[in-house]
Amino acid sequence: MKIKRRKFLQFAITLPALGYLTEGIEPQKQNETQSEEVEKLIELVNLRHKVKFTDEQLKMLKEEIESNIRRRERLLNLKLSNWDEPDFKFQV
Amino acid sequence: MSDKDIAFASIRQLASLIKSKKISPVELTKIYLERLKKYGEKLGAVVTITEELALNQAKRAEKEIMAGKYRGLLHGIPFGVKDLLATKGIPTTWGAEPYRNQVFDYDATVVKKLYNAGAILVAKLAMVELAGGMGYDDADASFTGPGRTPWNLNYWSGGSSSGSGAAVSAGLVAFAIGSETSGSILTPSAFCGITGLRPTYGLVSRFGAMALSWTLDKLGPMCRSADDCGIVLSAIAGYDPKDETTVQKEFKYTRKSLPQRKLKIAVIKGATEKAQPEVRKNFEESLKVISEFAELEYDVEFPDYPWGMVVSTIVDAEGASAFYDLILSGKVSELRNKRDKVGGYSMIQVSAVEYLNAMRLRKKMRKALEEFLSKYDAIVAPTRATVSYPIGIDFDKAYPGSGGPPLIPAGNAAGVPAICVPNGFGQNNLPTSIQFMGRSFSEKTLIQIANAYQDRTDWHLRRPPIDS
Repeated sequence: MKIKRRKFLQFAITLPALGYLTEGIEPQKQNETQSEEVEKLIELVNLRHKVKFTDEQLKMLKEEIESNIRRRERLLNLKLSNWDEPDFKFQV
Repeated sequence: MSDKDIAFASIRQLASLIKSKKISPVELTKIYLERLKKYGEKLGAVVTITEELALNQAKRAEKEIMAGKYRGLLHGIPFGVKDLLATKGIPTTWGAEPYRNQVFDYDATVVKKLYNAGAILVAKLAMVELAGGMGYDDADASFTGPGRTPWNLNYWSGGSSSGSGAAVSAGLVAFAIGSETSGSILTPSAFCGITGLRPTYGLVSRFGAMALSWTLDKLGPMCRSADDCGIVLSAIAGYDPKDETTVQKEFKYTRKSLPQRKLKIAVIKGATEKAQPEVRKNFEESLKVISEFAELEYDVEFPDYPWGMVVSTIVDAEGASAFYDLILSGKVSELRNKRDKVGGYSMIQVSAVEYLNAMRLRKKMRKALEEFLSKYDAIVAPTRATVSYPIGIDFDKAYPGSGGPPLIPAGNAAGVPAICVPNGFGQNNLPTSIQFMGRSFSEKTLIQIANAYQDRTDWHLRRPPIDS
């Protein structure tokens, strides 16, 4: 199946936002949301890269994605002020 | 001196033998070439033995020295480099099958500087594929197979500068160059019982080195003593217009130097709480030695920040960008380690916002660590909480429950230097190690501390049982 670029972008663009939407959701629903996100992200890998993963590889990919989601939740919950700049400077 | 004694001699000793014409660079090169051929494969430590180049360089060095043109302590000294440094006309494989036939037509700045110092390249040394950027989870993570520590061949040499660690430890080279993004000089140095120095970010040019993470990667010496690390760092440090992250600073080190006053060293609280008993015991013994020349402040709290999380986010984002083409091509499936074959697909999903937030946090964390380090001449902790991992077992299953304070991710996130030295042995006759970390550009102080420690101990002089 050929991936339609627009369809792919519409699908992909919704994904990073999910992390922000979990705040205030009860734990069980949050777990369901998270596992749904993991499934979607694996689907995205399949859709985009067309890789034939073995069961063991799929298990590892799932672990990697779950771990990234947990890290993202923690990372984006750490407080930063509007004016906190990243640790690099743009120079001309 | 026997050939074996020569193979394990320090750079300063070898330089003295060469300068006084008791051994020629050609003879010395042949000793190391023979050992590389004999033990390199057994240790999984070597990718390419550069015999022809080495003998030509050795002959040139010999001619120059005989003619009275002595370039300095590295003249005629054979060395190896981690196989992520470009060397003109010689394969540079990055430890990975997809790059096995890659050849550059230029030399990395570090290699060029060592050539200019008269040093002789004898080998390109094995490494964890792509410097471990894809998230490997066991020792079998290089197209040359797992690296083995010369102290016990059933155990890993550490990564990602695996071959550099094993080759120095087994006397296959006089010194080696490694790279560190987060632990890749210190870990193999610890697991192989050698001395490794991670320089301040920006002190050593990375031009010609494989990039995994532009804001974290550093190159540094891996040697058999702190004094040797000083000699090598002195040759490779300095500004390079080809690497715009380098700073206008020199590092000069010719004479072995010791602390000029009683230094203040902080002992990190909880440093051995989750360490193996032998690591704890050796650390406590080391503190007794250090207290002979430094004032120790105990139970100092290490700044509490999410060091590991920030570093892993940065490595994932920058690594996925650096290896974007490889991931998209699907050639990650040719990598050796089982987790490396899939890791890239999750790394590529790290968003720009995550990366930027990690970099925003990093700035605050770096400042906090610099402020903390400014109160001391150095801080001390075990380099690793355990001895080396057994080959064939996933890392997380080897020593469950062990761990230590996050000095390695913290030091790398902040770009500050550290030196590690062997300090005894633990389970299965495997070496243990301690590290000293200091503020930016405090390499000389760290080397002086390590020199003072090594003057009082002989762990760095012990030889692995590989020859017996």
